[in-house]
Amino acid sequence: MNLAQQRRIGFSALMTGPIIWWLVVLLVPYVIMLMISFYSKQFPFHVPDFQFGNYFKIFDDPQYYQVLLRSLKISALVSVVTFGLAYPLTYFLVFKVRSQRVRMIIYVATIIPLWVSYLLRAYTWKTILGTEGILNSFLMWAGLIDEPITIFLYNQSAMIITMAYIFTPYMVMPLFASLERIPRNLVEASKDLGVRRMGTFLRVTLPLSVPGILVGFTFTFCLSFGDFISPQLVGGPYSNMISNVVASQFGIAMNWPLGSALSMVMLLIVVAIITLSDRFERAGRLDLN
Amino acid sequence: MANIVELEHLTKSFGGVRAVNNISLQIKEGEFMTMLGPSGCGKTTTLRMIGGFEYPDRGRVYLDGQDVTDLAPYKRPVNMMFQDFALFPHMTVAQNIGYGLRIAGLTKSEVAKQVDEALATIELSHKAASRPAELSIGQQQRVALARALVRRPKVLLLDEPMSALDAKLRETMQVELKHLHKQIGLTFIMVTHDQTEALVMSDRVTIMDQGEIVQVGTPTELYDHPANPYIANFLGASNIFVATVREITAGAIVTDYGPNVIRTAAADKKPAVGSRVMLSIRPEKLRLLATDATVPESVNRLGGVISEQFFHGDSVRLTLDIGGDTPLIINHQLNSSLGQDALPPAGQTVNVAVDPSSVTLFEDIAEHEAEYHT
Repeated sequence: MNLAQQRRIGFSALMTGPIIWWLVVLLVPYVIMLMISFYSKQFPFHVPDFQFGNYFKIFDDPQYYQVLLRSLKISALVSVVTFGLAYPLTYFLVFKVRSQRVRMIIYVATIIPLWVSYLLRAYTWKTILGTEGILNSFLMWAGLIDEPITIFLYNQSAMIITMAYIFTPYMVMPLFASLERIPRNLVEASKDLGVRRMGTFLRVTLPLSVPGILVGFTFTFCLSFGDFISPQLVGGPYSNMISNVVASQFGIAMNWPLGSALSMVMLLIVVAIITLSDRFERAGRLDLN
Repeated sequence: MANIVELEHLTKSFGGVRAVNNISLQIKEGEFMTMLGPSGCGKTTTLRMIGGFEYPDRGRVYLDGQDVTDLAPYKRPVNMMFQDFALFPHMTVAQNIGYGLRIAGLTKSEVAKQVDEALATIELSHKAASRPAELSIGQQQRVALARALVRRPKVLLLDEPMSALDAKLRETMQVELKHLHKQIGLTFIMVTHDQTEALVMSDRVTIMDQGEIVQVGTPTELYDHPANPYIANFLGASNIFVATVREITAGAIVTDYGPNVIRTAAADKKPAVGSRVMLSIRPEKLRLLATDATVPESVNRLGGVISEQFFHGDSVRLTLDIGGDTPLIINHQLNSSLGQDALPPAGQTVNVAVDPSSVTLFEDIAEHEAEYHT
């Protein structure tokens, strides 16, 4: 056996595991889901078929397309809120905090919630926003209200706050990376050429951080779009997201074909967003040394 | 000529380290001034204080008679060419050059016209729509220069403008920049650590070391009359050694170096007889004498044994042991009367001559003594 053969065998041995894993947990389930999305529902379960009725139903029945639209709206709002909080914070970290050590401490402190269970972090907001929660207790202690207010919890705002909190690290990380890559002398050159702070930000810093903004938006949007926990924990009666509907189709409704079709639509939307953001990112990709 | 830039007692520290220590300097209008020194000497910090990128802890900066110490960079009538050019990567060449003009309140067509002119001047009209990354380093430098100059600043600041260029391009650009300076008559202040660059390009050079100005002067003044052994050694090669003062005569100081007597023409210095001083002689000022040559009594004549020869193409470097602590290095041009064939081989005893005016004498040598073999 020569060296090339040995290498081939070694390589195959190394790759067998990952390939099987990829086939079993990724490709096969997708294919099964795609197939079931064309099946027909038939009591008590479903029968193999090839028809577009499930997809048709999604875009015909308000019950489904409205949830889809609501999910898109809430994801967009979560992304905007997260961006609005994360960009100034990251800008401050990168450009204003002079000490490298302090910068890293604040950065890590922002990222560290990722290590805590998602469920726990979402649940935390229940204890903050609830009638017996911290916010109400504080307002009552401060004498601003006489009895607990119920408007904080179980509505779309609560969901948006919760998700914005949970997905902040996903926005901060790419923003931090892209802002940190902007050479300081570009900012200085802009000022040297007579442009004030705001103009410099709008014409130099902001355009050069677009790649980070795109990645941050993609992360937060796609993660919120598929979120299932926050609607259940802090959302109200009109806060159902697409994932909750999918879950119920596979659960109590026992309508796997419709659930699969909904999942395929979700998948398409997410893939479209990722492709689009990647395309923009490539078009604007710059050599910052 | 009026002073365009005046620095008064500037001091700047970074985290307890004093980068610039109480420096004062006047720069004349239209002058090419170079700040020269090793890295960390404070030259860049000084330039950045003129540009407004650093705020001095103490001292004032005057531009054209106006105190600009408290003015932000965007309000100062100066422009800087940054070390790695700092061209905006997301803008075209034309947008880069026009960047500072749109702000200046010009109309779109005026900006376009000035940008076109600038592009024509730097011969890059065909690259107007290119991104900086598509240009060669030399072209990027020209764009950076044009971008700074279209704003018609009163002073152009250049932060190590040649450091990104290779040796060949560097020489070309030195000449081009020098021509440009003559042509437009603008005040240039350049920072460099390259002493040849400083000597070639500048009208005057400010030598800095450890946050302080060591000497200011024209390149020839600095080369021929360095203020201390550090500068003598920093600006080109020099033979530096310690000698003892034997006597002071009219117009000359006579010193002993080993068995040799060396006269210097340092009339303004008054070292005590018997004190130790440092002498500096440039290698090219030492003339190899033919065996039968005679020299006037006033010229130093030193005898020694050649220990080594190094061929440099247009010249030969000889090391000559004259019985002192350090051998002398002689730079012998090969186009002079004595050809290479006629050069004495190693081991031979020869005589060299040097004018007393070419010997620089330094008093107060204590702080420099450790740096040289004594």
